[in-house]
Order: sequence, then structure tokens, then C-alpha cells
Amino acid sequence: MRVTVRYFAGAQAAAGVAQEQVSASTVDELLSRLAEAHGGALSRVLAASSFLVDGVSVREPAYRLSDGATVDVLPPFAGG
Amino acid sequence: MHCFGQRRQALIPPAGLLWAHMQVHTAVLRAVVVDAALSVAEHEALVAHPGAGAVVSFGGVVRDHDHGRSVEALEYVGHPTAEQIIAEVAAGIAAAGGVYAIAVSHRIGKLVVGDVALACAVSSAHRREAFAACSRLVDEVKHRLPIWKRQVFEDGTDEWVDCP
Repeated sequence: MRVTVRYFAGAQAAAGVAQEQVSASTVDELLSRLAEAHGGALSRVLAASSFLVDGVSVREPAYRLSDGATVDVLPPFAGG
Repeated sequence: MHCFGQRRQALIPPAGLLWAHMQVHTAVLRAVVVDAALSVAEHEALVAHPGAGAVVSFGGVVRDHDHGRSVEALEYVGHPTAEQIIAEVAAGIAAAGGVYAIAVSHRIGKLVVGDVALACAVSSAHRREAFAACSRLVDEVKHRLPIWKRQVFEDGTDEWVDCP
């Protein structure tokens, strides 16, 4: 499955790009690929992040991604 | 600048009615994320209500230090859903009841020391409810709002706050 990954804030800084296209069939697989591609800095951010798949919060690593889905990487919030 | 909010008119009971038995209707008069300067006083004025004996407000202000380092400036960025979430947070506080009106705004973009990043105000008949609701509002905003903060230090380095 080809998905679009959108990085925000510290995740964007660690990935070095705002968004990219990646192939993966589950959230777990996607995160492994992103960590492989970008290395330690992004791995640390991913471990602390929450994820939206097409706008819906997903906590299940085995969650199956559909082709064309958009996955948002949200680092810990720091408003206020 | 974009600005989106909920505006509802408070149901103001006629004076002299049985106040103790009346359900207070809470109005969310503002719940927005904006890239413009914020005024706490403006939020206080918004929640003014003839039945209110207490108006409690809060201003989250950019300070010049963090963990012992000198901070020069801050940048806040928000997820596209931030405005929807701040409206949900305000609606949640309103649903809990006990207050007349709520106004809350979070600023995004580049801020300098002294700028208000978060402005909110709550009005209620008595101070206890207003203090509690305002405190809960601030906690919920900080916990749930998908907004991030980048600190630029005096020496030119920067960091995303709370990001490992």
C-alpha cells in the first residue's frame, strides 16, 4: 500500500521533510520503514508520537493501511 | 489569519427567578486558533454576564527562560484539526456546567517574549466555579490541543519543546 506520511513540528525536523510517500501495509511496518530510512533522531520522535490515519487516531500497531491513506505523525503536544 | 469559532447567545434568566433551581446555560463565546496578537482583557470582556460574580482569566505568556537557558523567541505550529479540538475542549468545559461563559484562544506563528500564546476567561456566579473551570480549561488545552512549540535560544540554537 502506498501511503502519504505527513510530519509535524519536531517530527518534521527529525525527518528532514514535511511529507513523503512510503509503501507499507500496517502502521507497525510503516514505522519500521520510516525509522530505517531516517535513523535514530526520527526513531526517538516516533516512539513518543501519536498517529492519525486519514484524520482518525490509531493506536493499534497492526492497523492495516489502505492504498492512498494519509498518516500524520504528531509528536507530544506543547501548546500553552 | 484564519478565525473560526462558535458563537451562541447565553440564555439569561430574568432577574429574581429562582436562581438556585435554574440550570445555568454555558455559552462558548470564542474557541479559536489564530495567528494574530491575543488580549486577555478582551477575553474577560467577552464573558461578562449580569449574573457573574466572578471572572477568572488566564494568559499563557512567552517567558525569557526555560530550564535555565535564555529564550529569545517562540514559534507555535498547529495541526489542521487544532481549531476543531479547541472547540471540543471548550464545549466539554461548558457541558460540565456551573459557569456562564467561556472564551479561549491559542495563538500560532512567531511570538516574542511577553506575547500571549494562550488567552482564556470564564465567568460564573461565584469564584470557586470560575477558578476551577478556568484551570481545567487550561489543563485540557495543554493536554489535547495539537499545537507544538519551537524555542529559539539566545545562542541561536533551537528545540521543539517536549519532543525527544
